[in-house]
Amino acid sequence: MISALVFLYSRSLANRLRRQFARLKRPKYLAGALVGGAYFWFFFLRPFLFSPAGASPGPAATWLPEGVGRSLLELGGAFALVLFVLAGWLLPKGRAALDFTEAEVAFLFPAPVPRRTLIHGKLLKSQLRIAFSALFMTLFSARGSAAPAWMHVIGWWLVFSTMELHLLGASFTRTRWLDKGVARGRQRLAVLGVVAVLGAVVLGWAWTSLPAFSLEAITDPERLIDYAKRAAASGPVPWILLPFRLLIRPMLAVDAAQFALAAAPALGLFVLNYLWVVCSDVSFEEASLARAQQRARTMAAMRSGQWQLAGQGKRRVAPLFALRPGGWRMVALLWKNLIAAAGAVSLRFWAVAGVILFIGGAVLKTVKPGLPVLQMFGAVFLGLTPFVFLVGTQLLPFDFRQDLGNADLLKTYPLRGWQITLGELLAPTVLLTAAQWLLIALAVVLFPAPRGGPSLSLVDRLTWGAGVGLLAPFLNLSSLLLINAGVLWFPSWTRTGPGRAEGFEAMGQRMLFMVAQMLGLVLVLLLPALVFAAIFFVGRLWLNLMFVVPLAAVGGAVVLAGEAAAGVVALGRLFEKLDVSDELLT
Amino acid sequence: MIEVTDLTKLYGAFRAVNGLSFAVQPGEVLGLVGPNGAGKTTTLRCLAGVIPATQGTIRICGHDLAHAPLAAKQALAYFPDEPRLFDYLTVRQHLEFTARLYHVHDGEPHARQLLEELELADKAGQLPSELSRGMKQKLALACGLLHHPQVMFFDEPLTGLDPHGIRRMKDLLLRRAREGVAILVSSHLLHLVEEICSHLLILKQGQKVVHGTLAEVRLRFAESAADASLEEIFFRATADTPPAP
Repeated sequence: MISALVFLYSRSLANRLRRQFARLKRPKYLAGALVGGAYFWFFFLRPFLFSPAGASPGPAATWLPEGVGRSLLELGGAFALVLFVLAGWLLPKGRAALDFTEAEVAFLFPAPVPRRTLIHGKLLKSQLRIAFSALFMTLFSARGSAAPAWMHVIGWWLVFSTMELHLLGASFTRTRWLDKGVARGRQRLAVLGVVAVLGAVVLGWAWTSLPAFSLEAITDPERLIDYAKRAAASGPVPWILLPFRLLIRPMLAVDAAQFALAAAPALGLFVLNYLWVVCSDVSFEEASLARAQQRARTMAAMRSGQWQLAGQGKRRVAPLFALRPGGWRMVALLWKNLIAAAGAVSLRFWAVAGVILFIGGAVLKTVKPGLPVLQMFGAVFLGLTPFVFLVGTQLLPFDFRQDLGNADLLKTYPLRGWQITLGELLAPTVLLTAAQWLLIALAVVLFPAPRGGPSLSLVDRLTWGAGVGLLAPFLNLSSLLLINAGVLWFPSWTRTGPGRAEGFEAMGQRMLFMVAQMLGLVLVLLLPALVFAAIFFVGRLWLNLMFVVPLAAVGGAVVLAGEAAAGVVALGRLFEKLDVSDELLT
Repeated sequence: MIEVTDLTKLYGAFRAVNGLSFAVQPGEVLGLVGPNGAGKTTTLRCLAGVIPATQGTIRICGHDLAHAPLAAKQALAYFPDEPRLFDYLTVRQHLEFTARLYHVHDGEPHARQLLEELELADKAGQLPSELSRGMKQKLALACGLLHHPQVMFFDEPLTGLDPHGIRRMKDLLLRRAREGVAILVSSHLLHLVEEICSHLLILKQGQKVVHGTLAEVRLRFAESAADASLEEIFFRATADTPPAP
């Protein structure tokens, strides 16, 4: 029966790879693959392959004092595994569930497949991910290491596989306890009780056997390391951590003999965990089905670009304004996308918080103008304004990025391409601009006096604030236009699920996209910046700063608006020409 | 009402639809049938303006879909096989949104009437994720009907509906046809086509192989079997025969 699962997973993998290779016939994927491959080669593989073994210490060892590297690494790794295992016992809420897709549930669960085979199938499926993770981690851990790379690969594989089995076994055990009437709260208490007892034993021993630990020692790394070494090398700690240290040791071996000695007990731990898992007789089908359905919903949400909604239940949100049947049709798209945004981000909360901050800041600034905390907040808000411009466009994908999955529906609407484009881009533009205006207002009120320089007067701050505020909506729109142009040109980049681009070509495509976006933004800003500068410098010959800055900003904004209008029309045409079927066929 | 002339759709070198011509008059229900991959959904998507035709003319209520897409789209409604809804809009908000898109000035009373008619009134505040498959289908239907379309395209309209839903959908199609709406239904369910369609168009490999009223089609195939069922006609028509003129 397991052969059927081997067939399923091996064929799926082969088809996936074949599809990826077939896609390389298209120049956009080939370019992405070349860029992604070059990045991977130059930043990961080349330094790994051409770094002579033992010639330079690995990144993990460079900061360690001579002779203590391995034991400390073993200790640190063991502690990390302890935390990982504890999280596996304490955090999960539900019953044991295996990761199956909806299709696997539909085919495998009603089929005459023994439960143990399903578990084996799940373990088999996870092997690919584990193998890839082991290879990837080896690129870091084996760089400059004296041990051959294969030891690192096997070492990492043992750690990941054993941890995977342990978490599965823990989930089965928790479920069995649940079936016996032990609620999750009591289960957690029991686990914490064991941890508390072990902690008390260690503390008791340290209290009586180790020299007093002073607070000054925390600030002295050498004393801290020495103390940790002593604590870990004697008393109960080595015994408590023994299974975890045994698991780490193969990775730290320096030659084949040492590796063989270390691998045997680690392999024993792996086998013990495997036996624990396969011998557990726990019902996981119902929870697995629920998880598969949840994952399908998440994938569907991500596929439609609503990554914020992917991990949570959707909320009903009141619209921000009433939509009447008359008026500009594209406002309907703004209205819809604002509802989507409000479902993912609590817009009202942030609006109220912003207004309270503004009023509070203004009052404090009037009463106690020299308060250091106000200066600090002023600097933070000033710094946040460009940050919102750069990052906000990525955080608010309530445009084509969200609606690409509904492109066929949008195309049936009686709207021109440019109307749909503008309608789609309005919501993130409005939200970003509102956020930036608020930050600008806060920065204007609380702006710190430059250290060593003359502080700007309120009029000057207002002048610059108004100038930046005028430019902000057009800057946002231009930036969003560039992002959405990428989405419409290469729709498969934004897709998730079976049709999405993966591997080197996806990584390369994203890098190309980012570079193209930055270059595009520079080009878009060139002319408005020139106009702004020209008006500013010429205007300064005759006019006061108070008039010149807004005037120059208006000039820049007009040019930006013209560019954005041309962009909207061009993107509208692109949307009209977008053949969703063509992309789906690739 | 729907006039299609020489419609061709290419995907690269592959001809999904090849030189298709037909017309659907007000009050007629045309059943579009064909084996899998015959080009039915592609045809519907081209007719609804979802994807551009590579060649040919599509006129909806006299408006050329390529040259006057807004007027054409204002007159049509397209219902894909899976209801496509916005996850974060409630039932009522879907209708408000549609009313604005199509400038439906009697949107509110009409929406209320549609919600009552489709038994969605008590779900008006719910999100699509809280609705059953049938309810979602009804909501998609309500959105499509809100702007009083004169042309309607249905892709597998009975998918996922229970017997009540099936009956209601059939009644709705026939009622709209009686009111003068031109309807095109793509379906694999031949009994549905037999029951509600006045005309039949069988596609095979993107080409028209049979077209006419149900009576004409029956008559044409009656030469070989006097009481040929639609199923028999379908199998004969999609066997290796030359395309219809």
